[in-house]
Amino acid sequence: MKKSEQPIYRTITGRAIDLSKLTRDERPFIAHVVGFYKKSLEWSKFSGLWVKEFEKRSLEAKGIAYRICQDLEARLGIAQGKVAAPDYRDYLADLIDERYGSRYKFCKDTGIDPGHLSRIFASRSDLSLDALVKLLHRLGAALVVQPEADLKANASPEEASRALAGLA
Amino acid sequence: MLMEERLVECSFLIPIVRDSDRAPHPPIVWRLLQDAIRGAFPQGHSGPELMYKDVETVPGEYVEDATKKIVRDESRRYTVAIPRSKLDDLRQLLRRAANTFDQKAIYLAVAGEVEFVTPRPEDGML
Repeated sequence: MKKSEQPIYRTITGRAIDLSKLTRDERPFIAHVVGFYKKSLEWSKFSGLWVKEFEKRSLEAKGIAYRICQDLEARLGIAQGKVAAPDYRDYLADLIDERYGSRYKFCKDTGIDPGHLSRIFASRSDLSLDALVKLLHRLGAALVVQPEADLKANASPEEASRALAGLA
Repeated sequence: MLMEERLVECSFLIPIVRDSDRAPHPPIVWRLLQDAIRGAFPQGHSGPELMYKDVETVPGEYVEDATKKIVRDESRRYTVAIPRSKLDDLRQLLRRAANTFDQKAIYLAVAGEVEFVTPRPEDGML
């Protein structure tokens, strides 16, 4: 018998979010958001709508619905030319979030200066290739080179709509 | 926050490109801003300390210091309502945002009165 596939949502950085873990309150919220997301709203307009709906329903920002909505918003911003395509900073931030839960814990564990990490995220500073590879190794990740077309496709709003179609 | 404390409407502008190279910001900094707002104004028993009224992209222009030319740009305008006692927390958050978003100053209007929030390096980042 074929094993049924887990419903997975992948963020623009490839982080896998198990949709079966959406709570009873988060699920209808995401279904509602997907309803207006498919209308390709202007990036900021979408942001205002989902955040207000999120507050109206008193949902928990630590939940996965919040992270999914942030990702949907980023996709619209990228597609509309208002936000840069994700680079290594976005991947690093997501890995830290996934593996450590907070930047504070990550910095404490790896000895990286929190101020330096903030400057990196703000594109005010960079990591050397050597330092990046070492940090990625600590996070159980590796550097790969991917065609730009693949990156664009992964970050498209359509890709997200497809992944969330089952909830709408 | 006291239940009876009145809220004041504030709006602030975050330009969608960096000051130094006019490049759009990466997704991570917009996420950091959202997370910082949630962290600074947490959900209480009577609801969140900050209420979103609107988020919109608005056109703007300014005179560039070096060339004296008018530069047209776009910003994200956040309109929120917060308790008056939390205004300094918002200013502090915007100083950090200015450093992260590579801005010399952030436009903030509090109940219609305009001010510019200017960051110092020691304010830190988001």
